[in-house]
Order: sequence, then structure tokens, then C-alpha cells
Amino acid sequence: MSYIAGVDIGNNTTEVAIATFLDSGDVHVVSSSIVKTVGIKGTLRNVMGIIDALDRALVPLAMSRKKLDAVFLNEATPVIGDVAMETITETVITESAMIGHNPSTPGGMGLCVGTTVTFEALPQAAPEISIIVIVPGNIEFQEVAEKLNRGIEKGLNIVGAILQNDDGVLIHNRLSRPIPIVDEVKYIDRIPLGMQAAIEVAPVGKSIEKLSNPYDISTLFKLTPDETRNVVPIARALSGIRSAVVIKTPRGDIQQRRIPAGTIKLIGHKLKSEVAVEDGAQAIMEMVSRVAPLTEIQAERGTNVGGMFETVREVMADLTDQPVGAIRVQDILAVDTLVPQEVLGSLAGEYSQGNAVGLAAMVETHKLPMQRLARKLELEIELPVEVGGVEAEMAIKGALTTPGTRTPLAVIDLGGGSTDASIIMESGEIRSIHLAGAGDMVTLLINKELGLNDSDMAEKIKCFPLAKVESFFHLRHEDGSVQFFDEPLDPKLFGRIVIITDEGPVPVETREPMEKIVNVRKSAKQRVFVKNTLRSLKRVAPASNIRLISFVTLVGGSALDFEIPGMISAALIEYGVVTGKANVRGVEGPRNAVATGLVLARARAVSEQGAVGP
Amino acid sequence: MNKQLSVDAAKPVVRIVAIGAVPENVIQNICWGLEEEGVPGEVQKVASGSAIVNAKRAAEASKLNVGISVHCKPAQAVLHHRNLKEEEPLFNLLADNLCTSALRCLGTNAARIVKGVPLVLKQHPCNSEIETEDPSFRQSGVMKTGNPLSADLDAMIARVVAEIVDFDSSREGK
Repeated sequence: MSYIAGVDIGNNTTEVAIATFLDSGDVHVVSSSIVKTVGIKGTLRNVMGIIDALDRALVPLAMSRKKLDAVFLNEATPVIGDVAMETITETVITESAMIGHNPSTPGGMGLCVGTTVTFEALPQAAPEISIIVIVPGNIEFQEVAEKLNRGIEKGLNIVGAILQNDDGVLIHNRLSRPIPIVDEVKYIDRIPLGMQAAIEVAPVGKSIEKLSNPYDISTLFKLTPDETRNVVPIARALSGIRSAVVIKTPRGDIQQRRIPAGTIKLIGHKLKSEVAVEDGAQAIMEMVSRVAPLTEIQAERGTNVGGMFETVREVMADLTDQPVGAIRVQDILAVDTLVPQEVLGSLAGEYSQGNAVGLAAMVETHKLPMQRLARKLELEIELPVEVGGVEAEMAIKGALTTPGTRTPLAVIDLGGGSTDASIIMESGEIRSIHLAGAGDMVTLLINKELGLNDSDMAEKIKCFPLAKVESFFHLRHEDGSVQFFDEPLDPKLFGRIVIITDEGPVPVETREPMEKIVNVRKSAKQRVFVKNTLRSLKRVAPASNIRLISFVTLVGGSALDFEIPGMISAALIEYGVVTGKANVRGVEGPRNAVATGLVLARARAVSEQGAVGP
Repeated sequence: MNKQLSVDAAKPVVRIVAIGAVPENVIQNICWGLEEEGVPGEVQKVASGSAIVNAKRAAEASKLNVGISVHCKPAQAVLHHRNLKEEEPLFNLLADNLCTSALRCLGTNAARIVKGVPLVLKQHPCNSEIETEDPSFRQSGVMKTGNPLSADLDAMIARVVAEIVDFDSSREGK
């Protein structure tokens, strides 16, 4: 009886399958393991991970490494994918025309119009004008209330206040007359003085009605029809919030400006074209399909996308000992998205949604120094090591060990840097394709759309469901079910949205409601994986007809995700295809397909040759 | 015109207990935190007792299930809840941490527990002087550690570390 090991080195994980085979030709996979890949796939550092994986697989067999007769390394396809985001619009408030940050505890209620006067200048203010007092943060709220009351006694017509501190309710409770107060204005010193301004504060649970309506703003400031047209963006920006301020400055405005984001050149076999990134993802992807089949895609230098293209080509060039010039980006996936950005010229640190385009790119070549790796491994473990087995073929062989499958079968590998599809027809013909856009892109979209600036947090949100902590002792999961705890939860978690990770609940720093985060998560997975599943199947299916594929199996890290396989199944239902997570050898789930396929194929070859070894 | 805090046993309020001669200013800061969040509070005075036990009793007497106690000599403020074990209050602030912003924050957090919204858990600079005769409530750190700079230093170190971490993660790009 001989023992052989098959090793699949992936971008994220290295997997091993160990099989025994007899002279009769009987092959049995008896053990498997999975570890994180050490270093970039295809580099000598991988050896460490391979040895670790081999040892782990040997543990349940209580065997030493020496007992292995040969080790087979998969002919890993060099594919490197990366992602970048390009913001294509920005919001600018000119001349400090409005405040719309919606603080949680404004003071008072109602609407007022007045002239902006600072707290210091109050004693010199004229009694005939309506005054809106601007109060910087260095004055205690008691003094503010006192001075305002004295001013009112002396005959000043104080109609509203704008504060830097979070003192809206405290001051209002001490005033002799009720006025609307907007507080927590960070850049209080940017408020233009001596200008007409309007403040509106709605009751709790309601939104403002006047300052979100251009005709009411026109009434308050006596605007001409042309001026009214100009305030439309301001009115829109202030809709749906509980408090706001509008300041009538000569050219005050809020605009969404387009940001030049460079162009993408698409070079196909027959056509060539260019598309501007700021035209959006749909325009880009339409152009991609028009120019396909593609020879190369180029991005403009100096942009985020251009920088990412360079990085991805350099890494591949380095990996395969080729000049950067020989490396070409051959596929991209563009996705439209909205990202929260700080508004330029804001008075209170307001955020607004800006348009952005997320772009994933992929490079692949044919040469990967697997032989070098094999020799290094051979030296280290003192066993014969061979490279062989086209990845797509091995993946299919492994996937076919899933109970209930037969040809024609497609295998979709939902990885981190790329989505890979391979298909075997009834004839035995195998086709495969690699596409840009996978797990890393989903993480980027979640990170940017929620304004997290934290890719670890985005990764956790991607992988685990959410819950809301409602008391010290219970939380409510996103599906509505409630979970109770014997011991009180950490005060850090109180009232917060948390991610239910394997290590316990992790709080999310966000002002968004849970539903929004859930939608962002699901939509990111939809726009990347479901889109790429359809894109890749159309490319490999006979006559581009997905209906002609009977079985689709999902493998790879993201096939283990709690919602992605369901989303893909739902999308493929209309094509009459059986879709599901692979269950390699009926025990591994969507893992170990390539390693299993490799070991089955090689065992057969070896038993035919009658000997094992180089 | 100051809103009077009504003394009505049936009203749902956060109960605040002042143990011994607590400076007025200290109690007021806690009340202002509650007031800005829009949750009512009510103050009672007792002569002596443990801060933790009093806070727990106050929480049990409060229809909003939250109680606060303040003790002087040694200076201590405790935030408790009906459903927590007596010996495990939610917050237990000692002399180092009793500046105006920390006291106001205690009031803010008491209100937020009632409202079920996230708490404010930031560092307090604790270098503001509370106008009081009682030395135990003065500049931070003097009582506990004898080093007046320790709390300031801790806060500064925390800020520097936070900035370094921020800078690193923003440099990582995607």
C-alpha cells in the first residue's frame, strides 16, 4: 500500500489530501488538512505552509512524514487580483450656506429668521433687528442663558441660537422665552456674521418642514425666482432631519461636483476604446463587453485605479520573473457605489453620499516557478515531489466527488482576489476562466459604503450576522430572534449594533441603523459574486447558454459564507441549474476540491506506471 | 428660570443619592448630563453609607431602574442598575476620575441607559477645577496616586497611540 499527498496552494489557503492506493488501483483519500498560505502563492515561502499542512494531515493517521511515498503539487495558476475605489463626485458647501448635521439633542422648537450676531457682540446689538446668537464653546451654558435672558429683558429681539457645545437643551430650559437652538456645530467660527439666517427645529421624532422646501426658504428670505432655483440643492440636503440652519450668503450654495477620475483604455482583439471612470460602472462594463475579447486593459497614471493596476502587475512580474511590461490586466469588474464623504466647506463636519466606482482588476500569466518550489520542498522533507495537474481539471475532478453530481458540471471557485469558473462537458472537454472581483472586493465595498475606514471590521461584517444589544442581558439578532445572557454584557456593547463573531460580539462604530448595514452587506455580495457567477458561466457555457450546464458546484472560502451560496442559487434558479456548495468526498463541504482531484488523478497515473517517484 | 426637579415618589426618574456633604457643583454636573439628554433625575441626601450599596438601593427605588450615588472623603461616584449584581455596578469612579466632564458624562450615560442608546466611553482630561472647598474633588490624581500628572499623561498617551494607529490604517489604502 502506498501513501501519496496532494497539495493545493491557493491565494489564501493551502490544502492537503492524503490517499492510499493499492496495486489493484483502489484509491482512498484517508486524511486532509487546511492551513493559511504562507507568503504569496508561488513563492518559496509557501514551503513552510505546505509542511505544516502535511504534518496536520498526518496526525490522525499517526504516521510520520517519512512514510509518504510521494508528494504532488498542483500546477497553481498564477492569478492576482486587487481592488481600488475612485470617488467621482464631491459635495461642497460654498460660503457656509447651511448646517445640516442633525445633532441628537437640539433645544426648543420652531422656526425663526434673524441676523447672525456673536455672543460677545450682544451688548452692542440693536433692539430693532431679530437676532440669532452664535455661541462659541468656551462659554459655560449658565452664563449663556443668563446673558441671553438679560438681553431679552433689555429689549433685544433674540429669536434663535447656534452653539458649538452640546448644550441646546440645558440652555433652552433656562431661557425666559422659547427659541429654536441648534448645537454641536464644530466650526462655529466659520458661520458668516451679520447675515440673514433661518433656524428650524422640529419636535422629537419629526423632520423639519420649512427649510427642506425651496418655496418656504424663498418666503423667509424674500428670494427672486432665480435665487429660489439656487436653493433647491440646499433644501434637498436638509430633508429628513430634525434641525437645520440656512444662511443667506450672496453666492452660498451646496453643489455636487464631478471629480475627474481618469480614463480606462480597453484593447480588444478587434476593437479599441476608452471610457471615463466618472461615467460610472455601467458605462465601463458595457464598454468591456463591447470590446471583448480583451487583450489588455490600461488605467490612467496618478489615479487610485492606475496605482492599483501598477501594483498588481508589479507583484505578478516579481512572482514570475518577467518584466512588468509583459504583464497585462485582462479583466476588470466595475461596481457603482455611494460612499459617505465629509462635505467640503461644512460648518459642523457634515457627511454626504458621494458617487464612487469600485474597480477590481486581475492579471494572469502562464509561468509560475512551481518547479523551484518543488525542489525546495523536496530538500526540506526528503521525499519525492512532483508538479502536475492543471488546476481547472483537478478542481472538477474533486468537485465530481460530491454526491449527486455528474457532467456537464461547472465549478465556481469563490476566492479572495478572483472568481474562477471551470466546466467539464459530457465529452470531457474542459474550459476555464478567471474573472476580477471576489471576496476582497466585497470587503472593500462594505468598508467604503459604511465609511468604516477599517478593513478588518468590514471583513467581520461580511462574514458574520448582526445583532442589536437592547439591554445588559439580551440582544436581538438581525433575524429577530432574541438571545439572553446570564452575565451582564460589556458596557461597551450597550445599545450598539454588534457583529456576532466566533469570538463573541464586536461593536460596530456607526450611526447607521442595522437594516442599512445588512443591506450594504447583502448588496455588496450580490454585485460581486452573483454578477461574476453569471458573467463567468456565460463565458464557459456551451454556446454561452447557462441552461446547458446541469450542475454547478461552489467551492472556495466564500462558498462557506452564510448567505452567498443562497444568493447564487436564487440567481441561477431561472436557468434550471442545480446549484449548491460542493461536498467533496461527501465530507469536506466546499473545501479540498483541488487537493482531492490531484491525489485521485495522480494515484491513478502512478498505479498505471507501477512505480512511485520522480 | 430653573426647571425645578420635582420630588415625587411615583414619577419615573433616575435617583441620585448624595452621601454626606457633597459639593453642590458635583451633583449639578451629573444632573446637567441627564437634563441635556432629556431624562429626569431626582436628588436625595443621606448622612453616610457605602457608595455602591446606596447606588444599588437608588436603582431599585427608581422606576427607570437607574441609580447614582456620590460620596466624598474619599471621593467616589457610582452608577448602578436594578438588574446588576450589587457588587458589580456599571461604573465606579474614584478620586482620579471625578472632574466636571466625567461627572456630566456619568449623567449622560445614566440617561442613555434609560434610552437604550450607546454610551459615551471617552477619556476625560480631568484637569478642570470644580469650585468646591472639599479637597477630595479637586485636581485629578492628587488623592489617589499622589502624582498630579498621571491622569493627564495617561490621556496624552492614549491620544498619541490612537493617532499612530489611525495613521497606519489610513496609510494602508484599501
